Amino acid sequence: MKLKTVTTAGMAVAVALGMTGMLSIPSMAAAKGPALELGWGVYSSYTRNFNPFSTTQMGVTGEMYEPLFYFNDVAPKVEPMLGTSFAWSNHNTVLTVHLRKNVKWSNGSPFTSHDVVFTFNMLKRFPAMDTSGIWTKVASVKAAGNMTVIFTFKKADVPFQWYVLGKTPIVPASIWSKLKGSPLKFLNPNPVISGPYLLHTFNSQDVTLVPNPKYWGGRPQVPQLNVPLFTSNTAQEPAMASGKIAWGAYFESNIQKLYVAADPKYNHYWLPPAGPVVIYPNLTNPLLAKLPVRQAISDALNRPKLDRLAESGYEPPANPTLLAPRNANQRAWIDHHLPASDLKYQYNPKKSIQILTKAGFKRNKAGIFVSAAGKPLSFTLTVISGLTDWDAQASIIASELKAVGINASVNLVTGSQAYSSELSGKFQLMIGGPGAGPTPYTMYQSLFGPVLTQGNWERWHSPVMNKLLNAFSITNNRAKEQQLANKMESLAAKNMPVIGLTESVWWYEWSNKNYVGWPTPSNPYAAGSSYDYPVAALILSHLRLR
Amino acid sequence: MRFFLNRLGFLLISIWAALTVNFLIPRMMPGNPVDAILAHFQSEGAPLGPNALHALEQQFGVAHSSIWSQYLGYLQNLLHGQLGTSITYYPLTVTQVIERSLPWTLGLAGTATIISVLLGTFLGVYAAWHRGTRIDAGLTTVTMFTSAIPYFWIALILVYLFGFELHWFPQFHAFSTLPPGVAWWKFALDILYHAVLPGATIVISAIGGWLVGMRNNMIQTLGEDYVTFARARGVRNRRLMIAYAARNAILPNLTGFAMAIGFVVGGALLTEIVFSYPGIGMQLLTAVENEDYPLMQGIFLIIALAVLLANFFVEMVYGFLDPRARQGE
Repeated sequence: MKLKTVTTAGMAVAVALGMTGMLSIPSMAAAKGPALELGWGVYSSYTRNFNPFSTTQMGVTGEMYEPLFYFNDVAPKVEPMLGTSFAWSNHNTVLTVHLRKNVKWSNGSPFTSHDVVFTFNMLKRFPAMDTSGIWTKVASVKAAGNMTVIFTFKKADVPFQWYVLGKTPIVPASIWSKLKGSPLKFLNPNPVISGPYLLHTFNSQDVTLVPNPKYWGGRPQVPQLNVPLFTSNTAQEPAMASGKIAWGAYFESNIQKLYVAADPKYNHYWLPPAGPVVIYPNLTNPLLAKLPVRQAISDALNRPKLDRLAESGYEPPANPTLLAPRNANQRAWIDHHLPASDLKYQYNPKKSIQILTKAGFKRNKAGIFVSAAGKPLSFTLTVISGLTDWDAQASIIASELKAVGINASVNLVTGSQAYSSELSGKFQLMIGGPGAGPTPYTMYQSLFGPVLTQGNWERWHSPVMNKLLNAFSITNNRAKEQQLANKMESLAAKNMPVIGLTESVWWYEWSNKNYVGWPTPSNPYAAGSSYDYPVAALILSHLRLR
Repeated sequence: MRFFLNRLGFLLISIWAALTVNFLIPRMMPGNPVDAILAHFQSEGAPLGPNALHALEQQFGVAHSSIWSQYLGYLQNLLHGQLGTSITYYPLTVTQVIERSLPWTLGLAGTATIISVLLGTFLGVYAAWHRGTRIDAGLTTVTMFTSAIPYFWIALILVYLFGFELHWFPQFHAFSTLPPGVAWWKFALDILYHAVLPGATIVISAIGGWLVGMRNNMIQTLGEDYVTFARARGVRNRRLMIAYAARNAILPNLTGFAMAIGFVVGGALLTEIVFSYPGIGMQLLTAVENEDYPLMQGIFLIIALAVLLANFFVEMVYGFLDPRARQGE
C-alpha cells in the first residue's frame, strides 16, 4: 500500500544512446562486504527526484536528508540526529535547539544554524511546501550563534515539536538558496546531503548509493546500496524470498511461508503496530449519534476474526483506547487502571441485541432494528477499493452486523472519493486509519480535535476532550501529560466516537545473512519500515558486516 | 480533392470531440488528485502533516474556477502544445513523461506488430496455397488457438517458463543496469534481449488474426476466374501465388495494418504490466491509480490522435487504391 511515484527525465532514450545519467563519484577504497539490496516499495519507473519536500520523491531521501531528531515510533525514546538537545522555556512558547558540531554537508561545507533557519524560512516563503503547517504555529525561527536555533511559537504547543524537530528535513542553504521559483519544482538530481548515503548511479530502473565519507556518524559499513525497481509486490516476492533483497517494507499475505520459510535462519520480519484501523461513524447521523448504536456495532464485531481472515493474522485487534499495547511507545501511555472493558473490546453479539432492545429499538420483519421513530438501522459502510485487507474487513463486518440486526452495505470507492467524503461528511460508516505519533496527543488531536480537516471525520465535538487536548498541548511535564492522557483514553473508550477494528502495522522484513544490527523487538531503536522517515539513515548507520 | 477536404473536416471534428470528452470524463469523477494523495498516505498509517490539504492544493493548483473557464484554458493550453503538469511525476510535465515512455512502446509494440503482420500474412498465403493439407490445418488451428488465449496469460506463461524456470530471458524491465562506459551495441543487445519475451507475447497473440484473414482472402481470390485463367495459360505457381492472388488478397490486411499501427500507441497495456516494461501502457495504469488527470488526459489524447490519424491515413490510401471509395462520397 505504498504510493507509486516515478522517474525523472529517467532518460530512457539517453540511456539507450549510452549516455547513462550517472554521477561519477570516485570509487572509495576500503569497501568490504557485499552490496545491500533494498526493496523500497512499488514504483512504475524511477524519477531522478531527490527533493525531500516532494510527495513524488524517490523513496531514498531518508538516507540522504535528516531532521534534527528522530522520535522513535516503537519505543519511548528520542534519538538526536542533526540536533543534540532541545529545551522549552518561556511558558513553553520558546524552543531552543542545540545543533551537532562538526557536521559537514557532502560538498564539504559545514552544517550550521544558518541551514536550519534557512530551511524553515523557505517553508514560510513557499506555503505549498509546508505540509506540517509549521508556520501556523511558529512565529519566528532565529539563530543564536552558529550552533543554536530558537523557535518562537505563537502559543504554547509542545506536541507540535514532533513536526518541527522530527519531520522537517534540513537542507543546505548554500544550494537551496540559489533556486529560482518554487523549490517544489526542483528535482535535486545531484543531492548535497548530510545523511549516510550518497547517490552513485541512477537510471529509471535502478538506483545505487555509496557511503558518505563525511557522515557525522562515521562512515557507514555497507559499501553499496542497490535499489532495483519493482513494479508490483508480486515481482518483489521472489527477490525477497531468495535473499537477493535484504531489506523490504512490503505487504505480504503470508510472510512466514513465503518469506521466512525460504531461509529460516536469516529471513526475519517484525510488524510493530503503527496506528489503529477504525470505523468512523458519522455522528451527524441521528442514529449513529446514539451511543447504544455504536456500542451495539462494536460488540457485534469479532476482531480476532478480522485479524485472522482479513489481515492474515498480522494486524491484531485494536484497543478501545485506540493505543496499541504491542507498541512499546504507545503501551507506555496506556492507563492500566482503566476498567477491563475499556482495555479490551468484547465480542458479544447477544449483548448488541440487548443494548439495542434496551434503547427502544425493535426488529422489523426483515430482522433489522428500527428506532421508535421508524428509522431502520441501515447504513452504508464506505471503504477504499483496492486495499484488499480493508475490503475483506468490510465484508466480514457487514455480515457480522447483519447477524445482530444492523444492515450495512459495503460501498467501495477510490481513495480520493473516500477522502472527499470524509471532508464533506457525506458518508455513514467509513473505514480509515489515523496515524499515531510520539504521544497519544497526535492521534487524539487528529481524531477528536476541533479542526475537522485534520482527521475528525466522525465530527465529534466534545468540550471535555478539547479541554484535555489543550491542557496537554501546553504542558511539558511527563507526569501531567500522563494524567491527561489517562483521561482522554477513558473518554475515547467510553464514548466510542470511533470504533477500533485492528491495528495497522509498520511493514518490515530483513535478512541478516550479510549484515547485522537491524532493529528488532528486543532492540527497537527504530521502526524498520523505510517509509517511516527518517529511520533509513539511523538503521544504515547501525549495520555491521556479520 | 473534395474527398480529401471532406475527410479532413471529419478528422478535425472527431479530434475536437475526442478533446472534449477527454476534458469532461475526469471531471465527472468525484474527488481530486490531492484527495487521492492524502488518502493514500492515510491508508498507509503514515498520514501527511496537519496542513497537508492546504499545502498540496496550492502546489497542484486544484481548480475552484468554473468548468467553462477550465475548458477554455484547457483548449488554449493544447493549442500551445501544453498538456499540463503530471501529479504523479510532479514537477515533470505530461509531455516529458510521454516523451520518455512512448519510445519504449513504439519500439516494442511497433516492431512486434510489424513482425506479426509480415509473418501472419506470409503464413496465410502459404496456408491458402496448401489449403486442405495438414500444413494448412495445423497452422490455422494452432494460431487460432493462440489468438484465442488472453494475451496477458501468454505473457505470464512465458515469464514463468522462460524467465523464472529456465532463466533464458529476463523476467522484467526493458534493460539491465550495465557498468558505466559500456559499449552502445552491448546496451542495444541488452534492450533486444529484454524485448524478446514481451515481443513474443504480442506476436503469438496477434499472428492468428493476420494469418486467418490472409488465408481466407487468398482462398477467395484463388477461386477467381482470372486466377484459373492464368493457371490455364501456364503461369508458374510461384508467380501465380504472389503476383496474381496474394497481391489482390492483401488489400484488407493492408488497411488492417494501418489501423493496428494506430493502436500500437495505446500500448500493449497488460504485456507492459506483466513485464514491468516502462511504456505508455504502464504510465496509463500509474496515472489511473494515482488519479493523475493531466497525465491520463495526455495519454488518452495521444492514443486518440494516433487512432484518428491512422484512420484518416487508411481512408486516403484506400481512396487512392480503390477509386470506388472516392466516388462513393
